[in-house]
Amino acid sequence: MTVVDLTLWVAGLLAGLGVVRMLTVQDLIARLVALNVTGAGTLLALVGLSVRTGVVDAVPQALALTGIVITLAFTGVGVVLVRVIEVDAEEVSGNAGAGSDDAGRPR
Amino acid sequence: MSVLLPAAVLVPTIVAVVCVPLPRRRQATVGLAGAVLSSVVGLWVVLVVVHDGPLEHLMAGWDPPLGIALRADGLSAAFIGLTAIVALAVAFVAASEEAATGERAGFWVLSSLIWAGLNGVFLAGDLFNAYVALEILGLAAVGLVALGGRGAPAAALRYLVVAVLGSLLFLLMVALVYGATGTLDIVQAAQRLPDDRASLPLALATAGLALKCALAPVHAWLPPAHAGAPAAVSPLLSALVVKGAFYLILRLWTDLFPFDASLALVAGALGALGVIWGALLALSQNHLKRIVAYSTVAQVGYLFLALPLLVIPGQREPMLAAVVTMALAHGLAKCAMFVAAGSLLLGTGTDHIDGLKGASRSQRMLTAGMMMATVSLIGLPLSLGFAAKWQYALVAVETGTWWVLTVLVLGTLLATAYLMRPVAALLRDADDDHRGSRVTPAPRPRAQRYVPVLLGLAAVLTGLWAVPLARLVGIGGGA
Repeated sequence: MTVVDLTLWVAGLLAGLGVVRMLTVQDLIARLVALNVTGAGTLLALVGLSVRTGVVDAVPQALALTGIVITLAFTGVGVVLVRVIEVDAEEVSGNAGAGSDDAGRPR
Repeated sequence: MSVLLPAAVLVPTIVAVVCVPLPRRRQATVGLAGAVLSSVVGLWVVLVVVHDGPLEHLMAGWDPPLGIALRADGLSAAFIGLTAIVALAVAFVAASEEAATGERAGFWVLSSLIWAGLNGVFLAGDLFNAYVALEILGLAAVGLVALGGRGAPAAALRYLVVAVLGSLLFLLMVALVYGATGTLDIVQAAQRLPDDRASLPLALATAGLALKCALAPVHAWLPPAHAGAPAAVSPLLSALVVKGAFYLILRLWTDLFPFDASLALVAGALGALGVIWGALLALSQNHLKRIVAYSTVAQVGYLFLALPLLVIPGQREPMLAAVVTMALAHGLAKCAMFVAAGSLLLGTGTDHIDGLKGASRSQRMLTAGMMMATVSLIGLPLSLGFAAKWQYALVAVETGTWWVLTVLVLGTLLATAYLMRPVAALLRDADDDHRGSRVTPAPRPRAQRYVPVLLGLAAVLTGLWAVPLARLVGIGGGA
């Protein structure tokens, strides 16, 4: 088994593990981390493919770099959403019983 | 002329950037002006493609594989035109009332980014560019979902996970195609791709994009996201964002990969499942926006149902025209229906069907719009929806693919059932049983009253121009 094969197998393993974890876990942060693991597997596949030709090919590496930036972007959006969800949940449990002040809010 | 292509992506992007620092009220003015401009550029692209044939623009003058190409053929032009019309209509709705854009600011920035992302997807001549545009589209759509009321952030997070997973599968396809061909340009890759290395990447990309289209059985994320979104957001999501992912499926199947009949059969079977299951779920809903959202699941099923017919030798051209017609019909009608539903929700405070009884008395225009959209979504004769289904049926009969015909008929019957329920509620005069229980929604802004009826009319009347539309889709195809 060459380094390339090893890289691709690890990539597939990571992506698969990430997907399984993402579908089975309930905790929102854990789900986001699992999504990142899947992303890492995908990007590793890109890097692995770049060394398959004798001379190292820079294009897939550039793609992986762009991929990392996009991973950062969606992780950021995800973390913000998780925070909004948790704050909302706290508000609901905090206001239960006491006259909730946002009853007049639309929907 | 080819400068139009980068402009179609850059104009909405610039509008989004300009909107960021402005206060919310000013954003509406600038956003609406920007939408008009983006729409003009989009329709211009369509006109040029119709007149002069396919366009190509090489960014900064570099040839692929070093440079990045933007290409517009008939298929791209059809979807760019749909986006230009629907997004402009939605912009008018959004500018008419602040409540239509949700509780938080951000609609104008995100909707402009959606527009840029869609045009980027439709024009991408390069696989990686398509991936980046798809991500922009997905992230902006997640942001728009989160603008809704209670429960919206959870729906948005669920959507984010699904959308990112779909994109990652697409990215794996890009990596595999690059590994096999050494290029990212779609045209060059198609020439170099060995047949025996095509099925895995095609399956990965189709699965990923199907996830983003909410093909049954992975549709569960769509109804909460689309139904819970604000009035001006749901039409964008249902009519356009879903089409962005589906467009890429069409592009990959027709231009990059050799036809894969067994994969097409799987996709078509799942599409049939979506048509039936989505319709049954729509029947079991009591809230108008959820009915309309489940109807999207069923309509997406029709889009995938075209794949097994598309791969039959000799049927590529008629089926490509038919599936694009189906997508356009759904885009126009679904936008009309979601705008009407959102407007009724804003006017009455509820979208429970029983809460809308007799609303047609005071909301004639909205009701008319709902009915027009219903006609096209069901596929009654002359409408655009009918033209698409008729073409499906012709090809199915000609090739003896009877199961597709069965699904078409069943789906049409079910669509009639679930779409007539809300229309009947609107028309019912509540006077006989409970005097005074007739609903009178608060007066609606003019844009919200006229947009559904105009788009609904468009969805019905364009059925008369189905043949020129088919010719447009064929421009630059069949190479």
